[in-house]
Amino acid sequence: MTTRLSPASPDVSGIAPLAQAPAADRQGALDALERRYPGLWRAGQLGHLGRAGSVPALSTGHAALSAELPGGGWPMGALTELLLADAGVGELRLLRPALLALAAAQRRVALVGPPYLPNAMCLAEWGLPASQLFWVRPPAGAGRAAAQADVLWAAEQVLRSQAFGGVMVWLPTARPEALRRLQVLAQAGDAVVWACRPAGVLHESSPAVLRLLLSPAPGNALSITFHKRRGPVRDAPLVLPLGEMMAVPARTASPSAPPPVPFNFPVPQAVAGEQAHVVLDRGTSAAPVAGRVAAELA
Amino acid sequence: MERERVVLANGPAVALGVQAGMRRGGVQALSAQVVQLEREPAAEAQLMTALALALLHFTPHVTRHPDPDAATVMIDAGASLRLFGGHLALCRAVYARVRRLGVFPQLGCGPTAFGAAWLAAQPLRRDRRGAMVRPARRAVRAARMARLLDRLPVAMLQGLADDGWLDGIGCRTVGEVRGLPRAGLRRRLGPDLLARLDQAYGEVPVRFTWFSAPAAFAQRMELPGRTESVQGVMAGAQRLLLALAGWLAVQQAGVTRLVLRLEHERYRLGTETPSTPVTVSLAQPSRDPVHLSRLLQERLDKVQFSVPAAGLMLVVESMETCLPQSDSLFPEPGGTPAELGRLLDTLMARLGRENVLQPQPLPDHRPERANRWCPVDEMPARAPQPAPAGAMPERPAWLLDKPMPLTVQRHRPCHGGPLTLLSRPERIESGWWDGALATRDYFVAERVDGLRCWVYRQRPGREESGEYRWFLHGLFA
Repeated sequence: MTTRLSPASPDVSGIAPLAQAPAADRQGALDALERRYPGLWRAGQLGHLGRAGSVPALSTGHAALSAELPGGGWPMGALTELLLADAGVGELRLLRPALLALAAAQRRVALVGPPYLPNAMCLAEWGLPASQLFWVRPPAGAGRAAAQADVLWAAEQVLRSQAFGGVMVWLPTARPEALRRLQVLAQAGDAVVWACRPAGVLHESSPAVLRLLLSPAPGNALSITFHKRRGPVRDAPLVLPLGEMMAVPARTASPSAPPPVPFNFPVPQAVAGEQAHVVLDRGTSAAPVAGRVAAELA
Repeated sequence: MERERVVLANGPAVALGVQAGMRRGGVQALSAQVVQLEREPAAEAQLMTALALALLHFTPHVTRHPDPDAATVMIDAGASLRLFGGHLALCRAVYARVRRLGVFPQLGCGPTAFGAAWLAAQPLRRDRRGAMVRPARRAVRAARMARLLDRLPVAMLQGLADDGWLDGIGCRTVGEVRGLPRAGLRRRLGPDLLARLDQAYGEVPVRFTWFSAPAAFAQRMELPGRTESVQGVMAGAQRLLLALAGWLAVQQAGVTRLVLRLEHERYRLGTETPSTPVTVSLAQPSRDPVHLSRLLQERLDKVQFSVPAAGLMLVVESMETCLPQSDSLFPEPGGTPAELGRLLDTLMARLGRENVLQPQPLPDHRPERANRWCPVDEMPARAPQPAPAGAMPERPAWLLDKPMPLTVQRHRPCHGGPLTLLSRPERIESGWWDGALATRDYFVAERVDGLRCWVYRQRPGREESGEYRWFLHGLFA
């Protein structure tokens, strides 16, 4: 059980007078509280790995991204939501190290209802063994709603069997209740579950423990916005390079691209420590996000 | 009702005065609201066979009671008591399994078969205040069983002796009958009663002809009414599946393909309607009735009921030997292979086998041919070793189902914005021999916002003329 706790929260017994107390006492009391309840962390901190109550994680293989995720990786036994600005922005290349790590640990990986044909040649070239890779798709000719229901059903069966280490499921039109079911099922096992949804569902509430918005960035990179994580609010997207492509010569790797700074407001860097008066409950972020058109914000 | 006489009546009917042996007219005279149902010996026999088959799950020593009216099946599970966790756990398991056949069993348990049968068959008693008492029906030791049997009323000996005559000579219980002089009893009532008493009390051994399962499984049953719903069919199919599970346990086998035939009324609307087969195929043999019924449910969900079903027939088409999995001390992560097999069977039952796939890339230059996926039950047992990384050209993770034609603006292909070609062309020219000629130059392209696409330029063939045409074929997801 993990709870977010603001240091100045008045209704937690024992730390109510902290706001008036000297800083040293306050720090000591908070440390004691953290030692006593290992599942607790402060809003300014990132969730930890290796403490009771926090989720175990699978390394992402990208150091810059791992440093920003609670536990240092993709949460296992929990739902991660990837909001895609566009199908094919690089979501599989982002997950490539994680999928390879799962395959190396003899775990199976399922792709449930992807929007395009997964390319067997590409996956083989990455080194994913064919025997551990499964593609499940809804029957051809089914309507959109029926196909979505089939995908959800298949994902539930896959999670329930606990035979898979990684499950990617594409849910273009699923309701939040359906995601809650997936999250509950995911908690029963130790699989890493990625639910890929369109960026338009950003305003809906979600039971996922981690919500990332992925949008393409020029120069073979991916811009990752953290919309929900057990940790401090970070408004600036992380621009993660996805590794060079063999076929693309290095000198043309960044074509006539404008510099990737579309933000004209001061960006708060990771909020830390005592300045942790951060917004704890935040619906959709007010900041314009790469990949969202202005009409949507109006 | 059997031969115009009442055989059995339920509580409300008895309260109205209906008794066993009454004529149909007499019942009608008592009340016109009493529903009279004809006894169907054929259906009863089918049910008893299904019961015996289902109980084969526990032990191969299953036998029907020699008296067909007793409606009793006896099993000898003495050798497997530890496996099932003792008497009480075994009784509960037997009860649960029989209950799922849709009947209310009455269980007795004792060291001898006939003793247990009597304990099971004893009627409910009323105590002095008129409340129903459930008599003790379980005995583990012979002494306790003898004590329980001694207290049974002489009516239990119906069929072996005239219980009215025994009552007339002052014997109220089985114990009192047993106390009579044996020679006189034998002379007056014949040897059958004494022999059965000795067998029940375990004084002489009994030889049974054990129920032998048929060599091939094909069971049919009548549904209680016409049904057009999946639930109605599944309720009936449960009984057949349980019988199947018991039969498979004896064969030490698991089913890989079974067919449930929905039989319809033969001459409906003047035309003969053939039965509707519902086939369930499994990648891994299984005899778990829960799993089989889940698969069957998924298949039935797809059946269009144009005509109501009146009967069911379950046929095993193929099976394989399957040994029960032994429990391992340290469960391996990711579940057992059997669990995976069950999952894949479930997925295939609902989505179709062509939608549960594993990669099996084909050595072909054309990307759409090379990207081959096979149904999981077609995969070779040993996958070939993947080629070392770097040996293959770079390919996008997503392929489009059909290449999408792109518009061209200022000599640049556009896909939601003009694309910049990043790589040198990769020329693929292949397939002149099988009618799917591809003459293409592939490029890695990038949109302004950074989306990486895989596009190709179709080179015009000899017979067609015109410009280069651009297509989007993949996305570097």
